Amino acid sequence: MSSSSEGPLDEFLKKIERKVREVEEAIAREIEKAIKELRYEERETKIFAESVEPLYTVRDLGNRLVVYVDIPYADAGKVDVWFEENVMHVKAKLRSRLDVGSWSERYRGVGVEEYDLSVTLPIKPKPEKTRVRVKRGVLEVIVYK
Amino acid sequence: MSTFREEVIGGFRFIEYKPLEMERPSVLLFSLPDAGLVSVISASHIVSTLGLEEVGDVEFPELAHIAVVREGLPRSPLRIYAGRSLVAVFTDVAISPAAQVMLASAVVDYARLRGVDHVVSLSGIPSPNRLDLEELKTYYVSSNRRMAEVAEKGGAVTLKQGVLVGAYAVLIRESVRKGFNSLLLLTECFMEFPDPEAAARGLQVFSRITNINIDTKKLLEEAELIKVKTRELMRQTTGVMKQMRKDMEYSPFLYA
Repeated sequence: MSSSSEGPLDEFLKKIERKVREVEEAIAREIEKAIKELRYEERETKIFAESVEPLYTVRDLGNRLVVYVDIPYADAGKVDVWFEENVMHVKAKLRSRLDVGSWSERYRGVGVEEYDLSVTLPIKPKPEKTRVRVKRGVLEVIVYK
Repeated sequence: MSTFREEVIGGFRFIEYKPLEMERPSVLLFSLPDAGLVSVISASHIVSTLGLEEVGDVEFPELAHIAVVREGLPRSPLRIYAGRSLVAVFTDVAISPAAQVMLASAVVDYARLRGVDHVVSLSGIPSPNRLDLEELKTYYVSSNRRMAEVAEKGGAVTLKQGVLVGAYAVLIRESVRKGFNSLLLLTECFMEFPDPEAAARGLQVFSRITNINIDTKKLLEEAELIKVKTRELMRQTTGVMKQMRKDMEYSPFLYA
């Protein structure tokens, strides 16, 4: 049967098929990009500088997300947490400048002064439904869904 | 350093610079980066506090491209220290899950061949509630009843149920299979953050078991700086733990 004999329904179904294919390709591209980024992050060695990214972990506990950020030697009174859309930002000043050069000659002249972190969360946090505390040098941020 | 003896065990070349002379009963401490870096922090503290001497190293193709430099001299990232009744096989480099499995098995054989009486590993057991735990517990898994009694005398409690993932699971299973005396001490810890406090608690139990006095005061005083210093090793270790599905340890399992 020639294409000229196709009716409006066939045209419509083909259009849907094309759209589905486009969405599938877009999803595949995004997944591939995410995997590449993940692999890159695993390979990359983070160096010490004035500002360092702290270790962190995000747990989904059903009705809430809990973000733990390891901020040893931080001044508990100088920890800032704020949100922009679904990105959580953390800045925490150290109690004093840490001379990393005393640990390794490679870091001669380098001193760490603060932690700096930005984490993209799967939800947009509401400030009134967010709890923050620092205990044992670990910052805990609870974001209720 | 000149070589006194070389021996290939399970693909690993154990190189000794001098004879291993240990008081009896002797203990081999095996440490790899794991949950909370408890094992590495503990072993490092033991080596420095007791002044253990570097007596050898372990070569393996996967680590051949890495040299750890101390006082201008290159060394393998997998090193052997010894002193009094202790010998420590220790690395502070994250190694792949496959290499960990092979190494754990090789270490049991190395201990047997050198006539070591016991193998002990001080590691961590990740606790999701670690932030709020005031008193940390140390659990044990032993290769036989005799080692279980030793652990209990030291204040460790039986890990009644659970899953172990990683080199230490291999170590204890291989020890059971080969009829060797091994003990795994697991102290509650953070999974992804260095946990010197957990290391100190594990060391106190180890100290009671071995009757070797290990002062943990300095370790606790320097805990925060140790955490900053080991941040990158912890990040790399977390990557390795993800590969080996370490998170399975959080799963309660059903047994008939």
